[in-house]
Amino acid sequence: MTGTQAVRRREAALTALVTTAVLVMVVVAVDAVRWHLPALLAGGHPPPDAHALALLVLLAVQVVVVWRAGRSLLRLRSAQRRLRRLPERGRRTVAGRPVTVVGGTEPRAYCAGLVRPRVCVSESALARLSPEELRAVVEHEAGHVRRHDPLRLAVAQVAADGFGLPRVTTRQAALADLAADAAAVSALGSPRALAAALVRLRDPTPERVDHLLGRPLPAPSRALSACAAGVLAALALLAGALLLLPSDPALPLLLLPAVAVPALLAFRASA
Amino acid sequence: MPIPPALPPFEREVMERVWERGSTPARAVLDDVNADPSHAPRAYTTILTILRRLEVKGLLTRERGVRSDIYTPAIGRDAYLRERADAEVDDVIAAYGEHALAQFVRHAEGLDPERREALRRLAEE
Repeated sequence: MTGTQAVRRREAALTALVTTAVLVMVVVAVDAVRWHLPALLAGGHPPPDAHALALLVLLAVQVVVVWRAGRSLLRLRSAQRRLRRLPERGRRTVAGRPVTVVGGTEPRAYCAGLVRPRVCVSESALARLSPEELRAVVEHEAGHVRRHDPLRLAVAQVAADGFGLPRVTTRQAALADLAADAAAVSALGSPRALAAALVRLRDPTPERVDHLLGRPLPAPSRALSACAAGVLAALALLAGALLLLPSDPALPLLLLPAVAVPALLAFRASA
Repeated sequence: MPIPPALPPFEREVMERVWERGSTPARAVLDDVNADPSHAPRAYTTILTILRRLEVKGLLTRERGVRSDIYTPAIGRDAYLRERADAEVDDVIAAYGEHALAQFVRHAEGLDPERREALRRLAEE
C-alpha cells in the first residue's frame, strides 16, 4: 500500500480505538446514571442484580481510567509550562517560516505548543546542518505545525495513560513523523535533503526509512477499517439512544467492551 | 568542564557576589551579603560553608592568601547561565519529550545496516 494511504488508515485505526474506548465509557456512565442510580445508591437493599453488579465493576474500572488520565493531564500541564519557559536564543526565518532558536547540548528540532504550535531548532542543529538539510528539517516540523501534532500527541498520551496502553503514544508519534516526512518531501520535491538531515542527526525508525524509500508499509485492510468504523458509528448511536429511550434497554454490559475488538485488530495490523 | 549544577537560592546569591568581585576573601563576600537588609545578617561561618560547597561543586577555586583564603570563580557568569540553560533544555526534553512534543528524531532502536545504507544512498542521490 502506498505511504499516504497506509498512514491515513493507521491513523484512523488509532483514532477508532481511542474513540471506541471512550464511547464505551460514556455508554456505561449514561446507563448507570439514567436507569440504575437508585439501585447503585441503595447499598445492597434490595441486593443488586447481575446488571447492577456489572455496572459496579465497569464503573470501578472507569474511575481508575479517569484518575490516571487526570494525573496525565497534570503532567502535561507542567510539561507545557516548562516548555514555554525555556529561554530563547533568537528567532530566524528558514524557507519563509518562523523558527525559534533554543539552546541545549544536543542538535535537535521539534514542534511544541498545544494551541499555537511553533518550530524550534537548537543552536547545535543550526551549526551542524547544511542550508538544504535545515530547510528539510523545518519543512518536516512545519508539517507537524499544520497537523497540530503536539495537540494530537497530548490527547494520545492522556488516552494511553488512562487506558494503560503505552503503545498508543508511540504509534501516534510514529504516524505524526511519517505524515510530517511526507509534507517535507512534497514541499522539497524530493526526499534527498530529508534523508541527508536524518543521516546527519540521528538514526530514524526503520519504518521512516521504508516510507522515504517508497517501500510498502503495514496497514489494516479495508474490510477491517470499515468494520472498526461501523462499530464506532453503532456505539455513537447507542450512546445517543440511551439518552432518549423511554425505558431501560437492559444492555448486556459485560459484553460491551468486546465492541473494541475490530478497532484493536486494526490497531495491531498497523505495526 | 561538565555541565555546572543548578544552585539553591543562597548559594546562587553568594556566587553572584563572587562573580561581582572576581577574586575575593570570604570576609568581603560576608559584607556584601549582609549589606542587603532584606534578610537577617549571616554568620561568617555560614559564608565559609557555602563557599566550600561551591568549591566542591567546581564553581570556585580557592588559593591560600596571606591572612585568609581567596576565592575565584572557575566559570564566568555568562558561561554558567548559558550552560545551565542548555542543561535545562536537555532536562525538559528528556522528561517531557514524549509528552506533547513532535521531535524531528526520537531515540530509536539502532537501524539495521541495510536500511542505513539505503538511507545514505538516498541522501547522496
